[in-house]
Amino acid sequence: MNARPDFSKFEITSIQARKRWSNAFLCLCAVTSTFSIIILAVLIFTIVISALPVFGPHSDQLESTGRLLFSPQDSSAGREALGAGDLVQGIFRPHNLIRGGLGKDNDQVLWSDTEPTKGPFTIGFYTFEIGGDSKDNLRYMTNAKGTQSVASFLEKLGLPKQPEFADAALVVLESAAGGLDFEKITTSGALVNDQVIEQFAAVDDWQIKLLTGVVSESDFAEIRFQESNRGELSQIRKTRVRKRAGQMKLLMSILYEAGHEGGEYADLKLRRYTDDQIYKSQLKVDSAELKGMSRRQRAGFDLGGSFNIEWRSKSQSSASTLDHITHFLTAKPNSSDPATAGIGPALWGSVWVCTICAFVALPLGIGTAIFLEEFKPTHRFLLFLQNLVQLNITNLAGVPSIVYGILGLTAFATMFGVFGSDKEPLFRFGGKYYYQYLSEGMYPFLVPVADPSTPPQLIAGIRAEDGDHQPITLNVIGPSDPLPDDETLLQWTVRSDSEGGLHPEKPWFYFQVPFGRGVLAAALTLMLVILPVIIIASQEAIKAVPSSLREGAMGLGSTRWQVVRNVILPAAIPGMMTGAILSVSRAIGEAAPLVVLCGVVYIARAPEHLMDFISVLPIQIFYLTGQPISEEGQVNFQNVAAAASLVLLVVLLSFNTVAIVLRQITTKPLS
Amino acid sequence: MIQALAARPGEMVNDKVNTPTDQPNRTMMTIGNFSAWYGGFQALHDISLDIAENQVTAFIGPSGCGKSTLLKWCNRMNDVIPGATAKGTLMLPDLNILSAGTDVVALRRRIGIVFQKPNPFPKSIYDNIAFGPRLHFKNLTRNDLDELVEWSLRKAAVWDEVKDRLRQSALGLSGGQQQRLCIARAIAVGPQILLMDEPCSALDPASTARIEELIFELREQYTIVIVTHNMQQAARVSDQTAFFFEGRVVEEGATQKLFTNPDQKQTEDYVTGKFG
Repeated sequence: MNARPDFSKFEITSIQARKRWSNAFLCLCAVTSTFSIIILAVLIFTIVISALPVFGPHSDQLESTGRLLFSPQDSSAGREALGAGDLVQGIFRPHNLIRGGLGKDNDQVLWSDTEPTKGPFTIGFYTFEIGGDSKDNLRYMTNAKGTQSVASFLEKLGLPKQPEFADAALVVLESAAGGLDFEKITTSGALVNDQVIEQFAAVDDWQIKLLTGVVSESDFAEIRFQESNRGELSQIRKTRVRKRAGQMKLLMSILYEAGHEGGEYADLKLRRYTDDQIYKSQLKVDSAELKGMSRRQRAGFDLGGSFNIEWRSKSQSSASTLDHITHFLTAKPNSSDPATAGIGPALWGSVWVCTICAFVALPLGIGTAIFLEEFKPTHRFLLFLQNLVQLNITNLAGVPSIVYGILGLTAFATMFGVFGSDKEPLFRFGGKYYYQYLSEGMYPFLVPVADPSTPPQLIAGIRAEDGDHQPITLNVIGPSDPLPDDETLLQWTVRSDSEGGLHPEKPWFYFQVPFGRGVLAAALTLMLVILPVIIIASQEAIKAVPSSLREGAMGLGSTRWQVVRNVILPAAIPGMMTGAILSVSRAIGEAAPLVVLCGVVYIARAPEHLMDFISVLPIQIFYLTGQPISEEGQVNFQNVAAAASLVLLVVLLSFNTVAIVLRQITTKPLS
Repeated sequence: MIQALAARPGEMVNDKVNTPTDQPNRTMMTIGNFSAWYGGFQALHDISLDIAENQVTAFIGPSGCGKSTLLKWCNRMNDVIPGATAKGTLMLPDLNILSAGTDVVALRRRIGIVFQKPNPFPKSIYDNIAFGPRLHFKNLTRNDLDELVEWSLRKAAVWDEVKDRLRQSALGLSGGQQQRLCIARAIAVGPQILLMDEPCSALDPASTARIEELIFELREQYTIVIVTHNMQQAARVSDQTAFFFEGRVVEEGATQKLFTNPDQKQTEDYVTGKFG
């Protein structure tokens, strides 16, 4: 048995045979790694190529959107033309005409002009003035029924077919495809004969901004709406248009209400003051009629009834690529025009959410890792508990992120309904609440209230502020009392039965419980998503610290915490940072939980406080890719999505760069 | 400051220079009927030993005989090992080491430990030495700390080699220098007892010789317990020796006697290299 085995009987494996499999495997690996490079290159190439049109020079950069000028022209001819069949509902857009928007079943393109159109053209007795350099590409549409005529529209508005009407400045409404989204519009001096005589102060309420009205000498009136995102709460929108040059004043107020929960109706009031005459009208839209419509349709409908016209002017752009990039990064996502769409709000949303998420998740995650690694209990049962926790964390790292979205929704956004609802939170801090009214002189003013759910009683001596929060003295008159003649008195005269709208002002430190579907809830939800990853990475980093260091520190009489503080943490921080980089990168790109939590909604401004609604870049990309492809035009929403992806990558890289630099600083070698 | 450290208030001051002698000094640590377990495995059986003050006591024995276990129990380093338990007496003159109420942190300041592998912290040489004092002493001035660092490094016979690079990483030192740095780090908090767990096993002969010289010198002010596999080392540096075998002390006594004229056959076999 102890004899030496006969080694000569074994055949020696040839070197070729030994290498065969390893060579094959190496080839496979080489192919894979080459492919990974190719894939990365293709990815970047695709994104950059698709994104280029957004940043590159557009041949037809849109200057403004959704603007239509109505000008009653020849009054004698006009009145004849007022009849059934005249078209009032018009949509003017260069491309991407009616997508789901205002059009009814069988929308009909009645008029189309692919050639540049110049100058005013007339439909019915209205003249449409086209501004810019008239490289417009307009379409004109009607609704299916064709019954809505200018006449019936005017009738609904209560504007009689009167001769003076032709002389009066008339309304110009603006709208856009996404319903109530209006870009800021440059003063259209060129359009209105360079005679803009008045620009009205903006009336801001918290959801909708009602902007400037411009009246020109030449019977132009233009009212501009700047719209924010949601028509969720009751809102009041009023504006006024006055024609000072002539004898007449046209004062218009639009009371707009599109509540989800209350009665849904649109209320359009038009008051016209012609010397002493007051035409007051109301357009009530049946709420039942509204209910069948999508919000987008409703928005369009609410605004002007059947009067909904869009128009955009194109002009040659002289903007540089840098301007395009700046615009893209700061502008809001224009839902009707890819060329002017930006990602400002989503970018800010991502920055807010990820910053908060990182600041909450890192201390918690690293703390948990230290607890699990360095403070192992000696008691058997406690050790078992800790192992259970460890097992849980390992499992949580694999939970699909959308599940966390549900968790965030119930735990953070609504807090299981224990603390009231999002609209009626049990605790809120920092917000100021006003009711906004419009005085008889058509000036907006605010009345502060303590309880936002009950509107204040308008009585004499009530505390009130104007738009700039300067205190004013109100002149409260009864519902049927005559108006004072004095212009200055009229300015702050209000009828005691006036209806106001809630106008909250929430500063950056506004806080409420429950958190609602806002920034904080989103950040905390993302924190849940990345916490297990941070914990596991930090644990690995701690485990990698040689135990001889631990013993050395302990042998010198360090407490457990001193060991952690002085030895473990300095040595483990670089590894922890690596974990943090990976996790925060994941948080930036995470869309699923936020789709559940915040929804894919149109957000037109950056968050202003921790409870504010947000959109983040991944959601914005998702939203953009869902937009229809337009046949014409150089820039598609898909290009915008690619550009947003590029920005996402850049943001991600810059986060990583910061983290890598931090890591380098923390691990700077001593010698 | 340095004087105060060398003999902190309440601690025994011993200025006389010791020479190796057969006369055991006052007992510094009493180990009585000491048994230790790792979970169900009993690593030490009924150990009874006295560690004499200002002498070097060597624990020798083959691997796995429990000498390191005993050493680590001396300053409760085994506390963090799950399942490590002990029974019996482990006493300083004024302190029951094993008592649950013992302040481990204070204990470890009185009983320093040097490990088998040099384990300087990834900090500068200065910060390595200052680590312990900063933990324990509240009213340290910058000057005190500088003095303390210099004193410790001088004491550990490494000052001349590192005095120009105090702010550089301790990891740049050679193995022997690192180990002497660790000894300096251990004495910088003014301990009474130094435990050394095979301090030279990872070092070359020259470094080992330096460390041995150092141990010889340190004996004047510290009580030293050293675990070693190296029989010659034990014979060279220690005054007292205890021979461990399979968790029991087979023989203990003056080093000279144990090596030249052991009572037990097993001891003789081991020290002469017949087994082990």
